[in-house]
Amino acid sequence: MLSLVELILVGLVLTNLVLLGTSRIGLCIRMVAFQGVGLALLPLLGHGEFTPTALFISGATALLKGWIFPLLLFRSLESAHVRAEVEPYVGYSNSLLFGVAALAISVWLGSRMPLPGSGVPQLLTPVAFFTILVGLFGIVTRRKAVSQVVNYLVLENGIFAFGAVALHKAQFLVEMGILLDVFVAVFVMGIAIFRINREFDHIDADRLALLKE
Amino acid sequence: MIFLAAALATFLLGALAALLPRSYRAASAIGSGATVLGCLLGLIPAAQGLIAPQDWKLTLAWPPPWGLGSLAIDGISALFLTPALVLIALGAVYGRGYLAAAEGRKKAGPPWFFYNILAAAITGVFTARDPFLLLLSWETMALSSYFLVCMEDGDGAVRRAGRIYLVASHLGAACLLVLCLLPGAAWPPGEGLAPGLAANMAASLASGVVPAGVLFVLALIGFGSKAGLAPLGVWLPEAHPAAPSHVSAVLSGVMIKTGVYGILRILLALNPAPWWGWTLVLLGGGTAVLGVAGALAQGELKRLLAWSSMENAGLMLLGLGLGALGRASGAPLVAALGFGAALVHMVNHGVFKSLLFFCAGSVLHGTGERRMDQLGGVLGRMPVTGATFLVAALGICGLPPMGGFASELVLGLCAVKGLLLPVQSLDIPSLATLGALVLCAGMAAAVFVGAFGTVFLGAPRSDAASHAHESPPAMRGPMIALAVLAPLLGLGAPLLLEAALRALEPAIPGAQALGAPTVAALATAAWVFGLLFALLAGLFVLRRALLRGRDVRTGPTWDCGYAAPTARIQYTYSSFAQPLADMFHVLTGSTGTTTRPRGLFPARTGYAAETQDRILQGFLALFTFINAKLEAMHRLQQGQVHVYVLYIAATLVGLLAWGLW
Repeated sequence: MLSLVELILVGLVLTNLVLLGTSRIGLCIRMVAFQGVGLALLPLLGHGEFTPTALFISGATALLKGWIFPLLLFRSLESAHVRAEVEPYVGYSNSLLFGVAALAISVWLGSRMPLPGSGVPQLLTPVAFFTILVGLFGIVTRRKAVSQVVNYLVLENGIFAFGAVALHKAQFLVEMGILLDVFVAVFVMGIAIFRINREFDHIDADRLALLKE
Repeated sequence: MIFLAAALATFLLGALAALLPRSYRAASAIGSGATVLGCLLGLIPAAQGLIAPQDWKLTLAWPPPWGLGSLAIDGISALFLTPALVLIALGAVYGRGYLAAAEGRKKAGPPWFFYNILAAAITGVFTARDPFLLLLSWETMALSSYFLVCMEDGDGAVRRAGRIYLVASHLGAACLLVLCLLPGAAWPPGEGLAPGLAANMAASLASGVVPAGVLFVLALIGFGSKAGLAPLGVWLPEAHPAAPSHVSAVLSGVMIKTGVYGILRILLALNPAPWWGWTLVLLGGGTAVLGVAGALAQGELKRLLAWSSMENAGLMLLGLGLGALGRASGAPLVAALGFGAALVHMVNHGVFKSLLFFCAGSVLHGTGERRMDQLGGVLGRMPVTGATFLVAALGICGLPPMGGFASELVLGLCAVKGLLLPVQSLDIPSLATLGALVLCAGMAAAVFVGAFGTVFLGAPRSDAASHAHESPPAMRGPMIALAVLAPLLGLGAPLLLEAALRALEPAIPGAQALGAPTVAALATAAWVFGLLFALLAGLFVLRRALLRGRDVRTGPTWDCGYAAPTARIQYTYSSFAQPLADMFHVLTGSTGTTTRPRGLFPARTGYAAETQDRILQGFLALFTFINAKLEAMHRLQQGQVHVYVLYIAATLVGLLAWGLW
């Protein structure tokens, strides 16, 4: 079981690198969907029990992260007529370099952090950190509002990875909270993107600087 | 206990209920009624607390963080709370009459909403027993009073005053925030710790993480700014006159005292070092002299009263300073009398200053004129206002038989005791206190002679003054009540001082026994002056009786041969105060321009007084300077979401790395 979990975690790292290196937003959404499905399996595999609660959480996560969110995002992509991220603040090769550096930092942080309980794979902390860092990096460096939503989801995936494996006891609470969070975020940002697009004919978040003060 | 809860509930419910009705009269009736009812309910436990120490605690079912969320009334709380509630209730009655003129122009709900909230917040400040609750009440008090100050928001000057007040009170509150959230914070310090936190808080205090001196400085700035302490109290002469008069009365009569209360609590709970006392004596003396000098230089009655509030706050701080020095140098007699003088003066000043503001509001209501130099001869047209103003002015100048005399006497006696005791370190502060006290008493007398003479005596200087009319009974009632209370406080001063000493007994063991001779001296003074004034009153009645039935004619006084005397010949307040104000213009920055008569046939001569508040201007210049220096920080505000997220991410990662290093 543990090796399966580690497999998923490695998959998380790889998809993160893809997210950093690609300009096409559609691909990014698919990668996040993959991450979501992989993460949905974590509660089941994490402690190897197929309890109804765990099954329900896994199912709900898979449904939301793997199907509904991508669907919503693809829709807003279509309605906003955006296909690719043009001219991000940090180029794609530089982003990949950042990814490597972030991975190193995450591994270092992971080595410093005590593991929350036994039966938790060593890889978990670094990978979760790495995912969070990649999500934050994406929010900071990408211009399109859709990319920012996608990267926000990546960030949430990182947090979820922590919760899914590490928090045996308050699992249900934690995850439902996170799911609700994400749902609201996607909902709100979907509306926001739609509105911004209709109002300004573009969804470049950096050009919103006019609104300061 | 149940009464305190009921009082707080009445205030809060009354605040909400005042917002409901559409009719102006219904809203003001509900609002003022709720305040009065709440104050009456609150007075029951407060009076019980005055008589005997109470051992109950009102604890919230939902405890806030850093404390138990409890309210209690001990002797000190009771001593502050009782006059506060009386004054707030009278203010509500008065305010109903005062605001009646605004019917149709404004809504009645909001002022009464905030007035009730203010009443609840002040009650909370005086009774809170943990830091979080204190902070909450304090902030509520600051905000609700801000909205009350800004009631006449159509006037630009009022909005400016409100802004100054808001900034000043939050600069003070920032210090209180630190004071209340420091590790080891408790209110009053050193008591009522939450059980879970008690151990590590006591440890952090004991290990000297937070030196007591830091606590004192924080409290001095935080509470002192509310009390009108010299450089920080600049907002006071701006905000108090801008508010509607019943609110000014509560601000000056009650809210200033919350600052004194806070400092007193700190001084009683911690062991004061000598420099605390020195600081308080210096700042208190400075505030008192500055306040009275500022009052000399004003042209508006309400501004004059606000400056005089600063003076009296200074006198209270002088008392606190002597008390702290007494505690620090092991002279419990001086400590008990110093704190006791501050407490007695607190009660008296509340009564006089509220009454004075009521009278000033009444004059404003009856004439519509704020400037004293445009008034005159109001006494004949507004006899009740004039007579009550005279009573209050006598009190505030410290003249017998009013209470002000008693409290200044106690402060003076305390300073004399400090001089006589063989404790070297008390000599100079005692002398300084005596000097400041005497100077202030004399100048206050000059100020109020000028103010009363200009406004109420002589001939009217303008149409507004000649068409003055007496205020409605709702306004006269509270004024008369306070005017009756003022001499009673003077005669009952021994009892008041005894109550103050009893309240101090837990912190200063033996306070009552040490203060007993002073209480006796006060009682003698009260007897003597009571008899003297009874004699005077008897003579007055006798005169009336002798003159009854006889023809009494009134006519013009000898007019110095002027063929056509006009009202402009009279001394104005500015010209009356000019010689004294000139002496202190360094402090107050009052710049008058005098055109002296020249030659044998002098042409136009004159004196134009103009006052600038130097300290306020200094603060404004300082803020402008800081603002200019902080301009560079604007580069951080990019207006781009990306950059803001970057800031957050960098901070989080940095904190994480720091924590794990």
